[in-house]
Amino acid sequence: MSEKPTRRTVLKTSLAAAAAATLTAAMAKEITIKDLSKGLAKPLTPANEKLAETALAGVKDASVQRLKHKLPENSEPCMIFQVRPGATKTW
Amino acid sequence: MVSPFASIAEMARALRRREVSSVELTQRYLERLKTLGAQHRAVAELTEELALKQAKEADKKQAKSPLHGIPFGVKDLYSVANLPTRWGSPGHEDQVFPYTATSVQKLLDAGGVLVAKLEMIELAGGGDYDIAGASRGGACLSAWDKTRWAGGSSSGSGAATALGCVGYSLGSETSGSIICPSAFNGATGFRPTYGRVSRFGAMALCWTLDKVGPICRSAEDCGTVLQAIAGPDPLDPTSLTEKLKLRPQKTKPRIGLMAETFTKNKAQASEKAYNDAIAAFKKLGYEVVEVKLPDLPYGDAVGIIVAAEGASAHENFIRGERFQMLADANQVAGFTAALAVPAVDYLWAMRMRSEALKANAIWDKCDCVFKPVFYHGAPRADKSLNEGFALMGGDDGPANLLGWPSMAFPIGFEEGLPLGGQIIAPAMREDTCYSVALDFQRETDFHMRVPPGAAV
Repeated sequence: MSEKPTRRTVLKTSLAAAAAATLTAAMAKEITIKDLSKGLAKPLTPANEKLAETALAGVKDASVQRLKHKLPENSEPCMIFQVRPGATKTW
Repeated sequence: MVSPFASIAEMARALRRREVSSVELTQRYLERLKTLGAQHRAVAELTEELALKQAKEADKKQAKSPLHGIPFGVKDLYSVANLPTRWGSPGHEDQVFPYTATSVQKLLDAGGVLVAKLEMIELAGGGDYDIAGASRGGACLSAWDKTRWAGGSSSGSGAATALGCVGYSLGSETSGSIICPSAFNGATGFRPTYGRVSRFGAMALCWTLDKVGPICRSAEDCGTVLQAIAGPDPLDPTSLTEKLKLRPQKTKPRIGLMAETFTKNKAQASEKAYNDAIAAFKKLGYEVVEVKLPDLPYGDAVGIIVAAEGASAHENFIRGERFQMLADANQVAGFTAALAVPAVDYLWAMRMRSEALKANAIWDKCDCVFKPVFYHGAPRADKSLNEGFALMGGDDGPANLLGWPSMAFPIGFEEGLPLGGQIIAPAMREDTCYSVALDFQRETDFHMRVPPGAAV
């Protein structure tokens, strides 16, 4: 069997990827406290739910605010937590 | 009898000369914890039986450490084998670990006597608390005024130390939790470089930000305690292998000063205390220079990291039956919402952290930075903290993000409430914080003042 993907396979894969990306984006954008509450052992009380709505708005706002600071292309996350001595490289 | 406000060196000397026994010191601190400590809601768990046993042992043995026989307390975020470790949370009432945190074990190995576990903000406040009462013990009250908050999240460590209820204490900081209660209680707190002290056995709020450090009554005491707890630990892979050296430097470090906003924040008392402190530094021969940090969203990055790592660290609890037992509904809301922090946001924050390294350029111009911790004294304990912090200011720079050390110490008063200043230094340069604060405390006596109602 040829390892070269057929046009149909390519199309199917692309469509699936696009759908997944759209779904992920939509989920991230539209996630609600009701969605999050489903993952909790007990539903949030009405008072807690109201506060959580505000807190979730804060999380979403942080997602928007951070985009105001564009990071340089190819910059890397600081995933090595041990600090190092030196003038400009402590991480 | 040695004063409950005595320094570690004074207590060690009195113990060595047999002017006092460790049992006597322990009994005295236990008594103060039961009265003053309880009145200020600083105590999470008295360890009376264990403490008296440890003190008796200490009295029998030769001192091998300056901490031998001296009673201390730890934030209830540190596990101590077979004792309750409740993390300040009503939802963790029955939590007991079978092991002891490395930092606490090192103090016990040095002959220290554990007299109490001290109250704290529930889960170190990772859910964005808004009330002083965000703790299973209720609002921990400032050593200086029982209508005011003791600060957080190491609330009990700050209050109990300033009240002379312990010889010294351990606090911890993710973003402000040692520095804040030190300022609000007139104590001296030392946040070391990230990784300087093992985090093993300490509750995780943020694996990449949490630091273990002492809260004491002087810079000298902080140095003594930090020396005892610093060092590598195979149980904490992020712990540093480099040796801590605190010996004061031969040349005086250059002190950097940043633009402050006293007028905007109606902070005349703080401005005076700050200027007086600078005058004291100059009198001591320090050079001061104006410095500026690169304008980067440090605070935004810290906020995202705390939310994401905090939600992950406590996910079992958040999704568990007891979650809504937290004392502050804002914490329930914050932790719930934090479950939705996108991975790209977290990675942005971690990339911002790499970008923030640019801030290290500041150290080309100075060796440390002096800043007010806050522009005002402790806020009211019965009001929203968001309201209380409206004019507080505070360090919004990269210090916690980059693991820089800081020592906070009292520099003045505002209507009877202590005001704190802090010396921030580059990573690995705790010696700079230590030597500058030590010098300042030789020249001033703010750290020696005793809160009203706590005097012997």
